[in-house]
Amino acid sequence: MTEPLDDADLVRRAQGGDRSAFADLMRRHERRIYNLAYRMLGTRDDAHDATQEAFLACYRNLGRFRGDSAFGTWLHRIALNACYDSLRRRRPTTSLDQEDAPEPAVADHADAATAAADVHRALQEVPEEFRVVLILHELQDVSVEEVAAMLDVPIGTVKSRLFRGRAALGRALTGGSPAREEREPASATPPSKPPADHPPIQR
Amino acid sequence: MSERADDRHPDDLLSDYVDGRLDGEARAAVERHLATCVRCQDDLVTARAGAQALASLPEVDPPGLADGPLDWLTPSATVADLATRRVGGRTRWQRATVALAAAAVVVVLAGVVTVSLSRSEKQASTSAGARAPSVSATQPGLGGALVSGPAVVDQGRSYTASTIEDLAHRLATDVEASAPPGVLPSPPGQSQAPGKIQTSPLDPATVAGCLAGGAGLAATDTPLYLEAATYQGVPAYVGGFRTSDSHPAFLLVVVGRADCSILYEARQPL
Repeated sequence: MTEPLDDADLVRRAQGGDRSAFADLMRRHERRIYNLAYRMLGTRDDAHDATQEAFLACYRNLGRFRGDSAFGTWLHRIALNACYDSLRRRRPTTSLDQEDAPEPAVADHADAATAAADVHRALQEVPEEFRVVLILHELQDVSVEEVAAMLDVPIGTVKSRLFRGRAALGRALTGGSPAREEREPASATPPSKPPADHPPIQR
Repeated sequence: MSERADDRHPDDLLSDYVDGRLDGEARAAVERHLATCVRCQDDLVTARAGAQALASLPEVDPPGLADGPLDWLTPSATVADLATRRVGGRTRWQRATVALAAAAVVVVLAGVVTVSLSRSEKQASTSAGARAPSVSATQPGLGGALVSGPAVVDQGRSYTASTIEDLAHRLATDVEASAPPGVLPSPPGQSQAPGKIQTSPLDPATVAGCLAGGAGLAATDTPLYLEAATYQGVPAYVGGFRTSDSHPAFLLVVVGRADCSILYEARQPL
């Protein structure tokens, strides 16, 4: 019985030129990366592009990944950069199409579908630095410590953004303005946005 | 505790409070604050609602990129290329064909003129000998500059993954050794006709265009090596390129002749 290869093995093979190994890595991580991008950017098209860009940047830079951090963490940082790039490129009047409403697991409950679509839309109104924390911690079960490492911010900042993000989402859902105060105080560390092809790698 | 605790509103503690993770003095401090702070009381309510809403949000299915064509996944592709590729994948291919066709006349002429040069001069690796089948040494990547490239070699070779890897290794060594980078010696192996490079009647622009389209290479990538052969029994083109990203490497790409789909790719760091 052959054991499934772990990420490190696949990465080594991919670094050696084995494209099918990289395809396996993509299969393993695509769901999380795509969901991160979809909840961050709001549309399936943007999520598709950001996911593709993330994997391309990952492939191009695979040679410099040394395994000091987990591959998934490294890939997440690349994906976040791709999302930030997409958000920076975005025109201010981007609107969300109705067709971008996600299909819920329980397809025959119209209420659930509506609710999920509402939450998704409201999430897009939450300021980006809060939204990313909500997605990582609430939707993808990334620990506060790891979110802090991923975003290069203190743990206290993550917790603060978590609280404010939840509150902003709650307000957006009830039709209120999600931004009681639009941004954090000036002393706060802005979200880290390293260049797309050279995400800082944890050593 | 957090070094960022805001004395007025302990937002960093409130998320733990919502999650029921605060004990002892921290919890007491938060509750003391909440007793008198309407803003935080309101935020607490909405934060609970927000947390609950997120708990109900399902995962969505990804598009399955790994199971589709992977031609977009090449080290020399740029992020800017992806948008074009997704909307109209032929645009880059068309541009590549146009750019290479412009040079085709020059390349074919050079091939005719220089094909009969003896290979024995190759050992000296002088610029004249080493560059035999190519027109001139230009810098790949400069838009508008004269695009040169090698003629198409056809020695009826039959490749496998491991012989492609061998070839890539050998060509990469030659690329590293040659200065300036020009044409590479013919492939090693069975039917090495001494002293001659066999050219194919195939148009180099067509071969290079097929490689560029299938492998997703940029239009300004000048091939260093072109060969018509078979790969695992399938009629194919083999093309060698130097990558233009920050980690230079030699890329040997195999594409099927019928549809220019990528069959194999070997990469050798330089």
